[in-house]
Parts: sequence; structure tokens; C-alpha cells
Amino acid sequence: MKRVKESLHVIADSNQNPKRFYRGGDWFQVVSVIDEWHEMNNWWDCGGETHFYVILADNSGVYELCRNEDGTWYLTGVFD
Amino acid sequence: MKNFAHLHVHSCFSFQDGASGVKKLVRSAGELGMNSMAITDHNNLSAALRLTKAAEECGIKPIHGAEVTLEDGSHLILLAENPKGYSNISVILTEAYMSGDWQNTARALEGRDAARTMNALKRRRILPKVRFASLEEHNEGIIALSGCMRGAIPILIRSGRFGCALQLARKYAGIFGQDRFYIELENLCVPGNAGLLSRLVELADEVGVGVCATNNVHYVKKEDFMIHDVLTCIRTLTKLDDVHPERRLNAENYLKSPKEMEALFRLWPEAIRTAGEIAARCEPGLLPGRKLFPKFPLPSGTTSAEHLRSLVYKGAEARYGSITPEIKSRLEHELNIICTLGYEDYFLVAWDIVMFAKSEGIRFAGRGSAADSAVAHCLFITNVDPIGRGLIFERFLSLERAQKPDIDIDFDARRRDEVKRYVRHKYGTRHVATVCTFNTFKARSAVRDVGKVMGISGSDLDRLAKRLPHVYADEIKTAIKKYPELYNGDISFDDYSRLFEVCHALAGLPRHIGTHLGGIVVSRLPLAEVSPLQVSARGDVIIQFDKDDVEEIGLIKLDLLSLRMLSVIEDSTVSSGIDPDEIPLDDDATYKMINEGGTIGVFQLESPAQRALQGRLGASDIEDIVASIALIRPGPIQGNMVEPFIARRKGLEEVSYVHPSLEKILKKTYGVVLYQEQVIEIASVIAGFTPGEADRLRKVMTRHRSREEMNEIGKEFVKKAVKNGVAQDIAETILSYIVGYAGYGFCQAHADAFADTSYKTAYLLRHFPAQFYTAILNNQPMGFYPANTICLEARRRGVRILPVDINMSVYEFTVEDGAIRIGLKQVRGMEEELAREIIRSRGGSGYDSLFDFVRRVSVPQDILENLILCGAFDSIHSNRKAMLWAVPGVLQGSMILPLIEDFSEREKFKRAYYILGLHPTTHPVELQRVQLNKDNIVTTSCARQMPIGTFVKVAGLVIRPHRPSTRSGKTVVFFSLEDETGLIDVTVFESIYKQCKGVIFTQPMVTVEGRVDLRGNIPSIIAGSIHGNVPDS
Repeated sequence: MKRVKESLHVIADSNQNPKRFYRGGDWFQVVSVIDEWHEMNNWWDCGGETHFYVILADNSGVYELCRNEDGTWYLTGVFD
Repeated sequence: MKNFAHLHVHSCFSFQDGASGVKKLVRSAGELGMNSMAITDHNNLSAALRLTKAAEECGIKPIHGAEVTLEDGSHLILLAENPKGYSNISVILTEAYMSGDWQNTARALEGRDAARTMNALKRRRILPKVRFASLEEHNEGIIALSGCMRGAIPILIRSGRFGCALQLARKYAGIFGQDRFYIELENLCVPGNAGLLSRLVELADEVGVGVCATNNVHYVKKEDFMIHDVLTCIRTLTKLDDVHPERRLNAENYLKSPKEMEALFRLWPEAIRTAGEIAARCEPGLLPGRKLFPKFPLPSGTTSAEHLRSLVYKGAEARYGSITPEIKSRLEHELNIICTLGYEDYFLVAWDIVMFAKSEGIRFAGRGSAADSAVAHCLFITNVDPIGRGLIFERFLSLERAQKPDIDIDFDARRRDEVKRYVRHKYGTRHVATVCTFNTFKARSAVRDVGKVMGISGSDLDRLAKRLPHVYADEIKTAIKKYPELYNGDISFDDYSRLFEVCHALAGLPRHIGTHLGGIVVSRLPLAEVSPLQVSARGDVIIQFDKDDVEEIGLIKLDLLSLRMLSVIEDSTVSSGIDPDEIPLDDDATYKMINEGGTIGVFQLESPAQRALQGRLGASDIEDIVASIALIRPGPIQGNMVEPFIARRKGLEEVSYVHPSLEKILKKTYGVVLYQEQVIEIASVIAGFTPGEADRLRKVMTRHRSREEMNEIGKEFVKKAVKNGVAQDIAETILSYIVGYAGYGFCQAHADAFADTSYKTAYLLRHFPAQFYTAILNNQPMGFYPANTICLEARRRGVRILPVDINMSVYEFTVEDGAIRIGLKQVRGMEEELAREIIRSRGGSGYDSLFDFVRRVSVPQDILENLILCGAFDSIHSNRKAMLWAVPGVLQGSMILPLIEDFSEREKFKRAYYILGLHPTTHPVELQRVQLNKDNIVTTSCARQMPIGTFVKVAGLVIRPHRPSTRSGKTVVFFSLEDETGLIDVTVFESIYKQCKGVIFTQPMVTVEGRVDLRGNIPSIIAGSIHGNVPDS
């Protein structure tokens, strides 16, 4: 997996799960969520949680996205 | 559907891996609607009794279990399905701590290889390992879950070895049976969890076992994650910024509600159902309240009761000469209660132990409420005669209270372990263990631990921790606001506010398991079936329950304590050639010394408060010593009992009794209720309470139970007193005495037992000061004062202190022509073996030079230098500096000493004082005396002779500053100021304490300006100001 940190425009469903995301001029549909988890941010600093999703997109790519406490999204990994 | 229950829960007894107490967990489970809950701490059952009690309170069912660590480091959950399962888990854990088969290990501990075996077990205590063989052998009554992410099966699946996981699951299913082994499912929202769950379900299907949902709970609420994270960092020695596999990624390990669990496991509802079904199958495993005390081995044809009776009467003849009807009646009364409650064997065991000590010449003394028992006295367990002293047996044992007896015996500190070994040998290693303690986070330990985690430097933490008083971890902020040496000191405590917040959160959590000072339990059943056994860092086999828990489980604790003062009595009586039992209790010279406050080194009477009391009290018999011991306690001081007591004792205040019956009870304490036994007697005489009821009244009043309970028993007292012919208003007045004083009451039997030792040590000090102080110095650390103060006091009494001498000193301090010779043990870094070699190689002729010494003794360079610098070679060469310079060469075979000038006297003193922690002739303040004289600063001796009210300036070392509780709640600091002429006690009231910015606690040497005061006939100083700026300190 290639590690990246790109801010990402994501359309989420009512449960805050990613539905579609926009990258490199194209919209990608989330076909399925392969794995998801969340991590506590440093409680002694800003706190809050970050949610991670490994998704299969409609271009057959597998991506790792994350959503911060404030609702901002990032692309954090692209699977080879 | 059965109710969901959490079956994998860690309490704070998972030591640094559980952030919530048992009560909090159980209460929360009840509030969340669960009707049962398991606690599965890491490799221990320490929470078992607390779980049982909390569950009973909350109306839910306790399930006992543990998360065990297997030989490969993987985890497995074991739940007790029934009491057999509980005892099997206990045995499995014992074997894990005790290197496999505990029976064999126990045998090894009794054999020749005991020391080697014990060392191996000490290493293992950190990392117990459960063997498969143990699981196979002791699986009955146990339900097993496959474990968390650190379970072997999840590990194998995550590493892609599904086949191996399958094989292992079949093996477990084979051991426990398909209906007692389950695949554990956790949904903790961590990477790979979803995939793992599917594979685990698949595996369970293939093996044909059920799946069970758990949440691997480590704390009650999500917000407690922070505490758990800090604890994990402490445990794994990591900092907050570090990454460690054992630190949890998120805060999901909290006690989730059944609804939350159902939502998490919506794809596997059967896992939720199974958890409920398992919970329903499990019965509580721990059975409290059993009688587990062993039968004492008896002569054939007799019962325990008969044997006890026979020993008691034989002892009574020896103690009293003839058995009067009064003695007989008392003994019968006690024997009746003891036998009715079934404690004959307990007394026989205690008797047997003291008989062993006696036969081996091990000095001992029974203490505590056992001294209320004439049976204990006749069995020679205690020395106090409770009949002669008018002590009440029911304070110790009563039918109504039916509390377990608690016999405490002090032994010569050096030989206590011989007694413990005897008990182990007599009843078998598998039946005897030491009670554990749970050491909680205190302010200093929390600051050090949490500070490290937060990345604060070691030196800063050391400074910070040392400055803090000995308070609980949640009292740090209060202490900082209260004590001037903290808020006015050189440390900016505001910079550490986050640290203190985290410390506050850790307060009360057990940090680690420890060893009780003297509590042992002896059990009829092998103890491993009652509690897992492990080895403590000190090398004792301990059970995983503390002193409060053991009693409720059904074990009876015997306290075999080590008391260094008994070693002192032994040493000083041997060297002075007297029999301690023949010491007269009416020696005028001894009482005179006590009344002058000259009691430094005397057991229980040496603190400034005690010395000041003695000056006012004017003790003339042992009764006064008993009262002194009871009076100088936080309770009587806060309750303002001391002054009225002294005034009445001296006839300055009238002694009156509101009811004539009280005179007999309170006469010895001048109408003041001082002892707990007096409360019992008053309740019996005035209200006609049975002794047991009266003791309940005593307990309710002294332990500050609920107001409701106090009111209830108070009304009962008045009602019965009135019925007994006492006027209502008088009865109410008497009750007010009890309410007012009982909270401060002290057990007279305990005070009596201590007073005996106190008086004997005072006698020894008065008549054999060199022998007594030699013994005190040999048994350091002990008592209230450091070794240098003891030497100073010895010198003040005309006993010379002789320096360490390479040709004269032995390992210990010795008496030499009426003087005290410092022993080689006092030299920094000196080991006993080396000291013995020095003495052995010395021969008859001694060493004639440094070269001769080095030629005959193989000594490390640093120790040789220390010997030179502390003056040990002065008798054969006068130039310490020359010898020190020559050391490297001498060690290489050279025989040349340089011709250089020696150290100055001041330099010699400083080095010797550092190496010995004391000095034979000189006091640190003496070196400042010329300058102090110029500054009109007088000696403590001079101050002691000045008239009351004289303004003085005195400088000295600060000895034992302390802040006892006061009735007003204000802080008053007491300390002793020590210079070359002796000690003077100083009292510092709050305003002065604040003004001086707490230098008393931060500076070793201070100058006190104040007025001479006389408390009784002991001079002291009331401080007006204190400075830490003694010149050249």
C-alpha cells in the first residue's frame, strides 16, 4: 500500500460512511467497505476520534480513507 | 433469550490493565440491566470476593474467572461454572506461577534446593505460564473462551494459518468438551476486525462449537480510556508519544450495554445469545464463609477443646500460682466462647508457634486485642495479665460479634522468618501462605510513574516527588495549596497541573500486589484450591487476597510480625547480662528519666509529642505509660483529651462521675473514657448490655458508622439504662461521653502490651545506655531518630563513640570499655562478607600498615578509599590524604606514601560524615559554631537552660519535621533541632510556618528565632521565625 495524505471531497451517507469521492477530476463510487475502524487521537492534545475505511471503488481500486472529528476527509492510502 | 452478560471483564486487579474498580463495574452492569457479570483479570482471582460482595449488593450474579497466559504467551479466558471450576482455575494459576506441578515445587521448597527453587519462582512471578497439561488435568467445572486478539486462535488466523487455528480449536474442544469451549468474538472497531470475525465464525462452525460475544472490557465508561492508556504506558514503560502494540487504538473497551452489544453483533446474534446462556449456566465459584482453619495435631484420645483446656489450666498455674474462683470463672467464660465459636484449633496453633519461639530462644510479645484474653495469657501468647489489668475479653472475641479472632505476635525481627518456616514445615507448604497487600497509587509513586509517561525528565520528577508529602494521589492539589514549601517553593507546580490531574484519576487503583508485613494464613484445604498462590518479590508464597478478604473467605489470619525493638531488647539484655523478665516495674530512676523526657530510643515514647507529654504527665507507674501510649494518637489529640487528662492526673481539675458505677471503670483514667474496653464496660454496667452487644456499641461508635446506626444503638443504650434504674438524663449524659470519646478510644490491651516493652526499653536505656544504644545502632533503620541523633544522645549521656578502626571494629557496633565502637557495617558500600574477611585476616596481631592490609585482604578500591576517609586507618597512619593518594599504587604493589599535607579537620569531618552517616566526635553544626557565636546564635543546650519566655536564636539540623492533625484543622509543625549539644523540640504555628515558606521541609539546617517555652518540665521553643540561611551550611 502506498501511504498518502491528500484531503478529499467525500459524499457520505446518513451514517457518515463514504458513498462517493472526488479525486483527480473524477468521481468514484464506493462499491463496498472492506474494513473499517476508528482510532483515538491524542487525548492529551486535541482528542477526538478518526474513522478509517478501506473501500473498493468502482474503478476496482482499493483505497484507505479517513474522516476526522471535524468531518474533513483524507485519502491516506492507495492499495497496489 | 437469556440476558446478555459480559464474560470478559478486567477490573483494576488486572494491575495496570484495568482502569475501574470492581464495585463500579458491577454497579454499572446492574444499571445497564444485566443480571450477571464475570470478572476475568489477568492471571489472578484477587477480585473474586469483591465481585461476590458487590454483586450481592447490586442483585446480580457473580461469575468468577481469569484471563490466563499460556506458555506461548497467548491468552485464554477461563470461567468457573461452579465451585469446582473456581478451585480448578485457582490450581491452574498456582501451577502457572509455581513452575508446573505445585506439589513437586512445594516439596522442593521444603528441601535442600529451597533457595534455588525460590529464586526461579521469583523470576516467574512476573510472567506466569499456564501449561496445557494443567488445563487437561484441572478442566472440570471450567468454561473456556478462545480469548481476545492475543488469544492463540485469533493470532493464528491473522497470520494466515487457519489450519493451525482449526487444529488448536479442536484441541481446546477436546480438553474442555464441545459444550465448554467457545470461540470468543470481539468487535472492537480495530483494523482487520471484521475479517477476523467472519473467519472465527467459520472456524467455530467447522469445529462444532459455539461463538460468544464479549467486549474485552477494561473500564466502565468511554471517557475512562485515558486512565487505561496511562496505565498501559506505565506497564509497558512507554511515553504517551510512543507507539506500542499493547496500547489500544480506540476507546471501545468499555462496559457496553446489551443494546450496544446487540448492535455490534447484529450479523452474529447467536454470539450474544450464547453469552447469556453461558452466564446462566455459571454458578458463583467462590464460596465465602467456609471454615478453612486446620485441625491442630492432637495427642491421641483427646479433642481440641480438651487439649486447649488442659494447656490453659496448666499455664494458669504457672502464671498465677493458684487458681482462684475469679480466675477460674474468667477462664471458663473465655473457653466457652472460644469453643462455641469453634476457634480451639486457632488458639492451639498460636500456642504451638510461641512454644516453638520459646524453645528456640526467639524473643516475642503478643500485642493487640489478644492481650484482652486470659486464655492467650495462660498460653503464654501475651504477657499482659488481663484479669489483673481488668481487661474485657469481649473486645477480642464475643459470641454476638462472632468475628474471627486476630492474634498479633511480634518476634525478634532477625528471627521472625524462622518462625514462619516452622509454621510452613508443620502444616505443609501447600497449606500456609502469606497474605498479600494491594499497593495503590500514592502521590509520589503516581507522580513518578505518570511523569515518566508524560516525558518529564527523571531529575525533575525526582525533585517533584521528593517534595510532595506522603498523601494519596488525589490529594496532590490540596497539598500544594496547603503547604508553603510547595506553593512558595522553587518548583512551579502550575506547570504540572495536567500531570496532577492524571495522578488524581489513578488514586485508589492498585498498582501492584505486595506482601503483608506479617499476616499468614493456615488452611485445612490446600490453599491453591482457595486462592492462586504466587511468589512475592521478597520471596514469600502469597495468596491473592488481602487481610480483609481472607477473613470473609473463611481463612483466619495470624500476624507474625517482626519488631526490631525486640531485637534491641535481646541484644542489650544479653550484653548487659540481665534477664528482661526480671526488670522491676517500679524503678524510680527509670520513671525520673521518663519524666525528664530523656527517652530518645525508647519504644513508643521517643517522639517529641511523647517526650513533651512525659514532662507534663509525671509518670509514676506502668498505668501512666499505658495511658501515654493511648493518648498520643491523632484521635485523642484532635479530641482535645490530652490536657484534661493531665489536669485531672495532676489534681488540677476535679474528677467527678455522673453515676457512681462509673467510678470503678474510669478511676484509672481520671474519669476520662480513654480505652475501648471502658466503653464496653460502661455499656454492660449502665445499660445491662451483654458484653457482645456492648462491643457492637463500641464498634458502631468508633468506626463512625452511619448516623442512623449510631442513633439506633444510642436509643437502645438509654432505654436499657433507664430500665436498669439509671435516670434518663444521666443515661443520656453517659451516652454523650461515649459518643464524644469512643471515636478516639484505643484498645487498652494493645497499649498494655506496648507499655511493657516501652518500660523495659526505658529501663535498659537508663541503666545500660551503651548496651542499649549499641543495640539500637545495630538494628537500624528503626525508631524515630537517625543513627547520628542516637550517637549524639549517647554522647550527651557520657557514652563515648569510638571511630571505625581497622584493627578494633567488628562488623557490628560493639560496647568497648563502656564506649560504643562503630562497626564496619556502617562504612558506605561495605558488605558483610568483606567485613568478615577483614576481621578474619586481622588475626591476633592486627594490620600494621595500609600495605599490610592490602596484602592480606582483597578489597575493592572504593571501599578501601571509604575506609581511609572515615578514619579506619587513623590508628596506624595519621595522614588520610597521603593514604588516599597512595591507594592506586598500593593496589598495584607499591609501598610508597606521598609526603603531602593531610586534609583539614573540616574536610576530614565532611568525608567521614558522608561515608558513615554519623560522626564519632563531631556534629555538623559544631563546624559553624564560631560564626554562629558571632551571630548570637546559642546552642540547644544553652536554650534549654534559659528562663521561659526568653527570646533565643538557635541553629541546628532539622530532625523529623511532621504535621499531625489538629482539632482546629490548622497546620502546626513539630520538629527537633539538633546541634552538637543535643536536641530541642520546636513548635511552629501556622502563621510562622507560612512566613518561613516551609524551609523546615526543604533545608537540612535552619536557624530558629523564638521564645523558650516549658511544656511540663521539658524546654522547647515556640518559633517566631525560621531561616534556612545558616552560614556555610
